[in-house]
Amino acid sequence: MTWFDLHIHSALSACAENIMSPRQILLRARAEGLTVLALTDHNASGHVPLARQLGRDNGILVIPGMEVASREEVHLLVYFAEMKALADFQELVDRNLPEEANSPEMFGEQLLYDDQDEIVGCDERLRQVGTGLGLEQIITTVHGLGGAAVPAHIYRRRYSLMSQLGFVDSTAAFDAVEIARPAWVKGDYRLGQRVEGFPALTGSDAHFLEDVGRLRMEIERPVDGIHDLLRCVHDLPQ
Amino acid sequence: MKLKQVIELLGLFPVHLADENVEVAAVYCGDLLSDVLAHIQKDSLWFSIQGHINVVAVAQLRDVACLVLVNGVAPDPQAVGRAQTQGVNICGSDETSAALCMKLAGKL
Repeated sequence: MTWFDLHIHSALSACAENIMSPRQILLRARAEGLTVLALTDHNASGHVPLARQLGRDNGILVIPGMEVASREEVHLLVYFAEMKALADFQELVDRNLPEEANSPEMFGEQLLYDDQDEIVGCDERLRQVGTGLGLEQIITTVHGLGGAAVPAHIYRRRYSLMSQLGFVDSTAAFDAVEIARPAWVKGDYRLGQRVEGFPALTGSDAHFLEDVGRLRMEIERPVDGIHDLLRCVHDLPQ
Repeated sequence: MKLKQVIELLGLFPVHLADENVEVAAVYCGDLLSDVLAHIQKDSLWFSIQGHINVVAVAQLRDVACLVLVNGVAPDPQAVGRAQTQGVNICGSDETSAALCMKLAGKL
């Protein structure tokens, strides 16, 4: 079996709780029974290597990922099969973020932890903003790097496909769409159900440790990476 | 006022013009397409920084007279292609929405 949550923030996201170290997230994920997860920090991926190492120690597959904000200020979850691809994508994001410092008083701190829950750094760059990368450009780039692109919380009133771009283009090259957790429950969605022409999934979008794994998704066999997982979601009976 | 007069008055540069003789009856400024869909009037001149392909669909759905991409924003190539096939007018300007609106004030 696979129990997954592909939308989790860590302390590296300014808006997430400061205690969300990779170790605490992995411990929480294990307690919640997750077998697959992705750390998806805002325009950042600095915690992913450590999370993958801790995941291996805990029998949890950590998929390389990020929540990137496009030029249109649409939030998009991107996932990769390999760390190298995520690193390449991070470089592109860094080249397209404003050269400005984060304001911790305004947005919150962007903390980096080690495997003993010690704070070892602070990302000084302003990341809680849109990049200069257009949505289409991001999707093309992600696919070119062998990754997958999933627009986040598509019906939310802010930073979503619907709020920024008015409607969901069913001919777009999304690999799936994410429905936000409250809307998922309210709308009684099912994993893999076609929404706007795309297989739907949800994630916790955890910004607090206690939300990690909340409303975990289930697949009836183990998966070995993002493409295997999304193929299973795509193939679920309608 | 006809679009071609507006183009001249504001010094807009054409990106794709399907019909410059359309009548411009109103103006709207907006970048969130959900908001534009909800509020823009027919035959509007629409100032935006949004260059995504979806702007063309919104412009067509709401019978927009012309989309004007301000602040020097270039449309995505897909948006231009869609505008050409759908006959949607697009112009550009290096000025801000506010500056263009002030130039237009009382003239429509």
